[in-house]
Amino acid sequence: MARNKKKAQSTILNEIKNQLLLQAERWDNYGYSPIKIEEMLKDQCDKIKGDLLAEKNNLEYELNYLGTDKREVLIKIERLESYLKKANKAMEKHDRTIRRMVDKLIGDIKAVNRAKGLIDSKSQISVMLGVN
Amino acid sequence: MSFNVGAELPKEKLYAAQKLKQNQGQAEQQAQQNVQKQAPNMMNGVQWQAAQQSAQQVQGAKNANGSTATNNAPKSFEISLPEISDTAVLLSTSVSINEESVEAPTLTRNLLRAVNINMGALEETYRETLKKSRSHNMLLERFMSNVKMGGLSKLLSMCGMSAEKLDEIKSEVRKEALSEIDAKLVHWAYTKAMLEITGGVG
Repeated sequence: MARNKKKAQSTILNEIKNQLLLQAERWDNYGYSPIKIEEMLKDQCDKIKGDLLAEKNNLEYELNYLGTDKREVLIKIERLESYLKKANKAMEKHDRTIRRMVDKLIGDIKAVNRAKGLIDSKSQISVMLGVN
Repeated sequence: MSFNVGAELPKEKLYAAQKLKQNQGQAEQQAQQNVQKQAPNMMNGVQWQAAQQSAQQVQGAKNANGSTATNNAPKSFEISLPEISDTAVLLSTSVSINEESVEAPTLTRNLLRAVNINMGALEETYRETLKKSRSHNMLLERFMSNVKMGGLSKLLSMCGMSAEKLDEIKSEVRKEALSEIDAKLVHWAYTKAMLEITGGVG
């Protein structure tokens, strides 16, 4: 059941993304590349992580200084920490995806490095001066 | 010529024939009076001359105290044109005065004014249609871009909107639409990231 739900959510989100990208293309804007989309996702993960950290700080303040139910607050903090871990994982995942896409664009990295080295190397002219 | 009315002829028919004749006479009189009552500045040359003549005839008949003279007088109408003066006043022209500008025909403009077209509403509809003409839905996009947009742009140009103004609207709408798409994509990314983190979409 949960798998079906996840699949449905994923399908709907992909459909929305495709429609938005199609609209942008019809306005002659081809700037939304897959790399840019991944960067946007990573940025949003970062933003959510910041929100979660702020919430965690609030809960810790509540735990230490206010007289509330400590057990409940502790449960909330634990849950937040698990979300924070997930956010970190998601960010790493997006990072890896971006790196892979960039590598794919570059092609063979060794060949590129070799070409880069050839371009960067200064041409040396050796002049042998003979003494008559 | 003798005309004998038989006793067997129904009286209703006779009465109806008499009534019809009376009505026709009244209608003719009414029409003559209407022509006379018309304001002289609203009449053309022919009507004015006819009205003058009939008035003179009525006056003459009154003076002579006899009705036979007026009935037998030949009815002759003269066509009189308004005085032709040396100066000519050009009221309107469809020829463009400036070489670089083109005037929309006055008749069309007057027609549109008579129909009471709201230019603001029309412009708003044009903007909406322009937005929808780049829809992801293929049928909607085709209909909006080919049918509705063509008609609206034609109507706007007939109303006197210049091509520069139309281009300006287009660029404004494009900017708005792209910012809207960007905001929606950011929202989409936020939703997806949130679902990833809270355990929805993996």
